[in-house]
Amino acid sequence: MPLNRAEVYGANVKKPVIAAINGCCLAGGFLLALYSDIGVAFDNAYFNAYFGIPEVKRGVPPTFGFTAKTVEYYPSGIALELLLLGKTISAEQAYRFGFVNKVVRKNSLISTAEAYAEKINQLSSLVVQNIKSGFYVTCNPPRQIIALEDAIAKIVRHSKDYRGGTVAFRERRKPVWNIEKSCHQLLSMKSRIGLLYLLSIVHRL
Amino acid sequence: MNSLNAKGMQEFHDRIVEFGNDPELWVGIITGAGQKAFCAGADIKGLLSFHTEHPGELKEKPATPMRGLKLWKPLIAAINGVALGGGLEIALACDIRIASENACFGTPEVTLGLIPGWGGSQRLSRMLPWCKAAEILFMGRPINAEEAYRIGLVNKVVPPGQVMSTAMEWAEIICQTGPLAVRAAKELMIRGSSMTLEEGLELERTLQLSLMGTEDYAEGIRAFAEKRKPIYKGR
Repeated sequence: MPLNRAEVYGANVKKPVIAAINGCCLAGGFLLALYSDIGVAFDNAYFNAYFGIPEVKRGVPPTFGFTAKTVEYYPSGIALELLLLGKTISAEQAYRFGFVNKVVRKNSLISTAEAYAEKINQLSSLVVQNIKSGFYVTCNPPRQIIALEDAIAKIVRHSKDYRGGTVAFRERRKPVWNIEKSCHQLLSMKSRIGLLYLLSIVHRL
Repeated sequence: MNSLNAKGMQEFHDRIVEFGNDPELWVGIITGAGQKAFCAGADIKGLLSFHTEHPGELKEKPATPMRGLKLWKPLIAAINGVALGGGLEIALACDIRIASENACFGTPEVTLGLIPGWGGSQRLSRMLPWCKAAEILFMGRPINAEEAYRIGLVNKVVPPGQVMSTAMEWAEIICQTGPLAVRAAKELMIRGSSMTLEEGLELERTLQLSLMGTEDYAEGIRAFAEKRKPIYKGR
């Protein structure tokens, strides 16, 4: 599998995919959940930071359709908190926004997911797969948005903030951000500003 | 005749993905084994019989540059002979096409009651004048290299022994340029082709901004000022 494509995170799988979310679901894990069809999570009172996109804290841009998928599931205020602040939300909140279908106790997580699977298994796989394909044809983000998200991610990836952010993460210290000189001339470009720019495009299209 | 069966398709996919992921590889050349054929398309008995037995089944197929695989590194087709059906479609999914004098090009699918299935119906009609695309698609009769050159289907026609060396020469020239810029240009060509002009221009502007942050761009302008050849690293 090429590691630079949304398919790695489960996009465009023809068969239905159920996510049984049994713990923290962050960054790439969150994206996996965003690309599955049905989500079941268990509520963990001790671990409230459940879903989130902490990339922004490390100067890493969202890509693979992350922005569009987040906007699809969450109201824009919440989506912006997730994307711009790297904030995390609990399973209960995710349920409130319809991002997970069910929140259950830990010991019934797998059985709930299996019950969903069992129900789907009763149906014609040909019909189910075709309905799934029709569903995503209808609601997948337009390809212009994916293309622009990729392109904006590249701006960030070639920036000092990206390099600095990932190095700081490895060295377990706070990153120091700087405004890129070359980009600054055209567009005051910090990774966060890149994000705002992308979101403004998503909303315009 | 280098026809493709399901196993061949998977291997083709794997090699292309390896190429795409290897930072040391900047330009790909696709050619056929032997002297006679580039690729004569799908192995009719092997590949098509599967579909006859499983009508309407949404089977996962390996993604290829013909469909589903996003590859921004440039591909050159060194068409060293027959390029029919899927073989022609592989060549169409490449960016530059160098053909041997003895090459021929066609989509014989209609003679089997089928249509081209790897983008031939879309790419031929977008690349060629309508009537030439219709001629190739509806009649199932191949055209020769000279005709292919005349209608702009290939960049160059060379004697049979020189296809690969010419392709290498062209690849070498592309490798002298900034690889990230070449990839951005290809991305813009492909993604832009399914966008409105306004959206395409927005994408162009954004990718240009991304290139301005690269080490290669810094090297490019430094080398220009110092009047020497740039050394690009793909970063």
